Order: sequence, then C-alpha cells, then structure tokens
Amino acid sequence: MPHGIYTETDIPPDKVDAVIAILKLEDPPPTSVQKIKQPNGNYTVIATWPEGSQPDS
Amino acid sequence: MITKTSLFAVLFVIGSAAAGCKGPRFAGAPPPAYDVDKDIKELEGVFGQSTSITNFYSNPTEAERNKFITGRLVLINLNYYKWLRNVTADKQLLDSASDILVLSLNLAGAAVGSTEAKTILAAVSAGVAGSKTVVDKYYFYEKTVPALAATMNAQRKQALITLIKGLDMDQQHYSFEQALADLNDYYQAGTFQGAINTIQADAGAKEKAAASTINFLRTWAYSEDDSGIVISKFLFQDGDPTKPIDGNIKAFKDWRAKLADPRLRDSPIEKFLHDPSFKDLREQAIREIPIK
Repeated sequence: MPHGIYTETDIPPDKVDAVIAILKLEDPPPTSVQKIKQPNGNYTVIATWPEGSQPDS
Repeated sequence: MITKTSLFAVLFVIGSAAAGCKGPRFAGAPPPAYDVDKDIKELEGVFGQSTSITNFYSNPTEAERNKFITGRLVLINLNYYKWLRNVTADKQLLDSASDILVLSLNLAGAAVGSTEAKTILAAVSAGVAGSKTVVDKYYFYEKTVPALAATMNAQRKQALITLIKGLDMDQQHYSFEQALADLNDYYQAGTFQGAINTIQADAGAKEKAAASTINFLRTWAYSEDDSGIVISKFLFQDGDPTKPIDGNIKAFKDWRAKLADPRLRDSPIEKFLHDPSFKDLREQAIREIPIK
C-alpha cells in the first residue's frame, strides 16, 4: 500500500479522471487527491496516503 | 562485635577501592604498562629540532620534511592514545589506536638518525604493543564514546593515508606546507568535534540520498506505452478505469506484494501503468502474472 505523498505530472486533460480513478483503487484509497492545472494545459495530480499504514491484507 | 576502629578501617578500604575503580583517568582499565607522560617528554626531546617549522626552513630538504612529518605523527598519536585511554576502555578501539601509534613509531625510527633516538622509539613501541595484552581483561562498553572513538579511528586512518603517500613524494609534489595542513587534518580527525562533524556529514549525505530516492519513487510524469495499455486492458473492461475487473486487480496486487523492494510494493498501480521508468516492471508483470 502506498505511503505519503505521490505526485504525477503532465497528465493530459482527457486522462486525468482515469488517473484519479486508478489511484482510488488502492486499499485503502488515498485520504486526499488534488488536481492542479499546469500552465501548458496538462494536469498534476497529488495523492496522499497516511505514512506508515499497514499493507494490504 | 565490630569495634568503631575496625568499622572505620573497613569503610576506608571500601572507599579507597571504590575511588580507585572510578578514577577518571583509567576508568575500566588498568593504567598502561608504560609512562605515557614520560614517553611524550622524551620524544619531545628527540623531535624538538625536527618538529620545529623554523628548523625545516633552515634546511628545507625532503629528509627534513619527512623527519618533521613522522615526528609530529608520533607526538599526535601518543597524545591521542593517552587521551583515548582517558575517555574509553574499549579494547578494540585502543588496539586500533595503538596499532597506528606503533606504525608511526616505526616510521619515525626509520627517519631519525641517532642511535639514542632509535632506542627510545623502539622502547616506546614495544611498551605500547605490550600494554594491549594488559587491557584485555579490563574493558567495558559505553555507548557514545565508543561510537565517536570508532569514527575518530576510521577518520585518522583515512587522513594517515595522505601523509604516508606524501612521505614517498618529492617536495615538488608534496610540499612541506601541504604536509602541515595534512597533519592538522590528521589531528582534527582525532577529536570529538571531528568525529561529530563526520557523523553529521555522513547522516546528511544519507538523508539526501534517501530523500532523492523517495522523490524519484513518488514523483513521475505521465506517459503511455504498449505495455501500459496491455495491463490497462487486463485490469479494466475496455481499458476504462471506472470498470475494474476485480479478479484481475487482485492478481496484479498479489504480484506487486511479492516484489522484493518494499518501495516498489508500496507504489500505486497508477505508477506501474504510466511511469516511464517502470517499463521493465510492466514487462515483468506481463510475464509473471501472466497477462495475455
């Protein structure tokens, strides 16, 4: 299971929702997901999980 | 019945013994089998001329430079060993320090000319080597001082390499001034402050490397390739993440959980699909799950 903050940049606008959906497939899902529009029109997505959580069962 | 006099006598003996055990100078170890202060005084007499900077400049030859270096090394080492005995009784650390001291005494023995000096150096060398066996049964471990002393010994050995290499070079390639600077570095390596600086620098470098690895693993730019598309079609109906195929998602997570590197095991599926640096891992997943 992921821990901490993960940042994915340069996501095309038509792919950003798919990326967020995939991030939410983790168990548990991220505690927060931020979508930030870059000046070039692509997106950066920042997903946060708690640090030091237990792995998937 | 115990009389007041005998009670005082017993208390006096116990008190004296306790004071002897806790003496700050040789805590946990017997005093060395030789007189360090006397040795230093005698060696200062031997090297009085050769460890003088003014003396070198009056006859700036390679031989004089080497006498200066080896003389200073002996005095630094003897003082270091004396000081180390006061702060730790760790046998291994004392052994390491005394080995360097014996080495420097032998180097100095080769560099000095007079028979008297050679005799003193040989006697001190034998005394230092012999005292190691006495320490064997009388050591105890502290926590912090041994760590610092181990760092100091390691740094001193590192600094000593430069000096030993310098002894074999001519003055064009290893100047007297450079030797002075290296001797100072050597001295600094044998101080608590030097050890703390080294530990801090090492910790800083490790933290930086760890932070860099974490950033690398947690930050990536979106990218698509054939292997990512193959895995997406395996995980989602028509490659649409809003329609996950539960059994295949589980198969992928089970494969991920078996990866040897915990940082990879902790990476989200999205990173496996779209991080360009994970191309080899995608191909590995296709082979191992397997995905057709």
